[in-house]
Amino acid sequence: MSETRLASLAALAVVIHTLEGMIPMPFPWMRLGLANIVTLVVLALSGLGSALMVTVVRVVVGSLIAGQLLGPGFFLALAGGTAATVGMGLLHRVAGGGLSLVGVSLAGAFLHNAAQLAVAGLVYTRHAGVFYLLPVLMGLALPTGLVTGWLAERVVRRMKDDGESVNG
Amino acid sequence: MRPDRVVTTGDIIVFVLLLAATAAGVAFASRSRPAGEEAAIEVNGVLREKLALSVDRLLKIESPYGFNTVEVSGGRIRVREASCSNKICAAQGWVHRETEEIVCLPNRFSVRVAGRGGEKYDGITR
Amino acid sequence: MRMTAVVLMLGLLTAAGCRETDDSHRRSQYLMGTVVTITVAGLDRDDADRAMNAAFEEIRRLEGILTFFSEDSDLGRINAAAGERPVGVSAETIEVLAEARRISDRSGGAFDATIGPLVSLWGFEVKERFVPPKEEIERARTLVNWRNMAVDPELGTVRLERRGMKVDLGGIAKGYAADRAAETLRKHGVSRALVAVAGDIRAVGEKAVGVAWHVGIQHPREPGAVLGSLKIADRSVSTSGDYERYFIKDDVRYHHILDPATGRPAAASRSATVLAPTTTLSDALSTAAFVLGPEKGIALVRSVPGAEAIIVDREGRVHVTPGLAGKVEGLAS
Repeated sequence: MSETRLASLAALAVVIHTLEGMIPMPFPWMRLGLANIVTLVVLALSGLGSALMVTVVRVVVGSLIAGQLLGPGFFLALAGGTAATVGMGLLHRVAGGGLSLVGVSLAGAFLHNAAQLAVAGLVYTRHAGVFYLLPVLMGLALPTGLVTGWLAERVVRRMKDDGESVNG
Repeated sequence: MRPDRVVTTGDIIVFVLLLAATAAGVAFASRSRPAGEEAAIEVNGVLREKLALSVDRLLKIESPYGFNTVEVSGGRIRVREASCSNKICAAQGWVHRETEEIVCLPNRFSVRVAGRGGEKYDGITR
Repeated sequence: MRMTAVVLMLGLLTAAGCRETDDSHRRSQYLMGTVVTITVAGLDRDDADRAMNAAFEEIRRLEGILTFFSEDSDLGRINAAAGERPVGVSAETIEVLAEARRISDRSGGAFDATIGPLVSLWGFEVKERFVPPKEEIERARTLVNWRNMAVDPELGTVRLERRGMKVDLGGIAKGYAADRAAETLRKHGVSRALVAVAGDIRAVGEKAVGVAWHVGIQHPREPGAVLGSLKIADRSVSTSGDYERYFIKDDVRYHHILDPATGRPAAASRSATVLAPTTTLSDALSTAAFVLGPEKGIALVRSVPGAEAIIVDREGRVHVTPGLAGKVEGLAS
């Protein structure tokens, strides 16, 4: 994948991340996870290194735009994002064709929530009550992971098709 | 075009495993924490109301910061309406277990579910 | 999407829990600087709610009349006119001050509503960790004397004889408010209720036929634990303790119940619990019994018809009036 394309995908991720942040959620750090579509696409087309880069750029620039750089939300997003990306990258590599992006995305959504909760619980609230949210967040990861994974898979196929026909 | 089949057997296995993990988590959480008996409503850190969750009711809590309307129904409590801008409190939905909490930062408003204070007694003289 | 999931998950969690039904209705409000809890039994929710609202409103009204912190309250005006002239006040103020005077007479001043100058000096209300100098305590102490407070029920006036005197109803106003709230509940058709203005508790009737209200007595040294418990119906109970508002400086516990005789925190007891026909009485008597300590305190309470007491002395020993012997549940010895 060209650097230009990677950069524009990272920019797209930032845009989605920012728009997503405007959707009200029960907890300020909670997100629909739509930005994960970009991560998945990059992962599938260009590998873990690129995906990780896109994730970090998304979180850093996204937090900058929201005015929350180095705030609690930033570290929560960073922890969730990197944990999910690394996990998804490894799973994608290990499972090969056994898993589509849907399965990878489901696992990523789980990791994302688990990592955020761990950081929130251990660093920010120091309150055991946070962990009672774990099953709830896990349950939420299922539908969102499913949708983002399915969308990512469709995008990747479309891009591959385009790539073959247009040779861009 | 490729065949439009997206989901593989592996995906389904992952889904089922995660579903099982979630179910186990829910079972654990619901067993480890008892249902609360009352909710304490505070504005700016000061107690405004204590409501028994056994009594269904609708109550509007007003303060200089705005209003929040809480609803108690079937042993649960939620914020039904609020004057705040983000409506995070209303979006959080129902809570009913001990230590569960709904917070509305713009209105400095909170609802916390608790067990009945000194359950054995109708009152405590102190 | 996620929102639907939240609702779903919470629904699941709820279904997993069990529900409990209770015919009593309980609500709390923050009034008179403390938590007021009213429990009403034997009525449907709407009627109970109406009665509770009226009772809370009555307490709010009394707070406005009896507060120490407002210059416009009856108390504020009485204090402002100290040493100058009699002040016309509401019937409620006359009632509570007349009762305060009676209890002062009876307790030889161990309970004294003119304690204001000492309370202001120690400043427990503003949470300062401050021990006033001896001379200032002495000066304030000479101003504390209920005999210099003239209450005239006919004219509806109160006069403080000396400039600088101040009435503080901290030891009786909550009890009086509980009595008035109970009265308001009765007027609204309530025959079973428990009114708790902080630890000043008034039981209206029984909780249910043959079931008394069960009231725990706070343990003076173990937060959240009870010393024992009492079953009461149509009666009041109050506790005064050295653990409610206090600070410890140089290993001395300075708390908010001052002994008018010394001008310092009373040191004879850890807590005094008094049962009486009204909460006005139990509130003031528990302060007096706390100040007097186990022997004189028990003697005082025994002299008041319908009153009983449990006093924990400074060593932690428990003393009870003969009428209460064996009737305090869970009390060791």
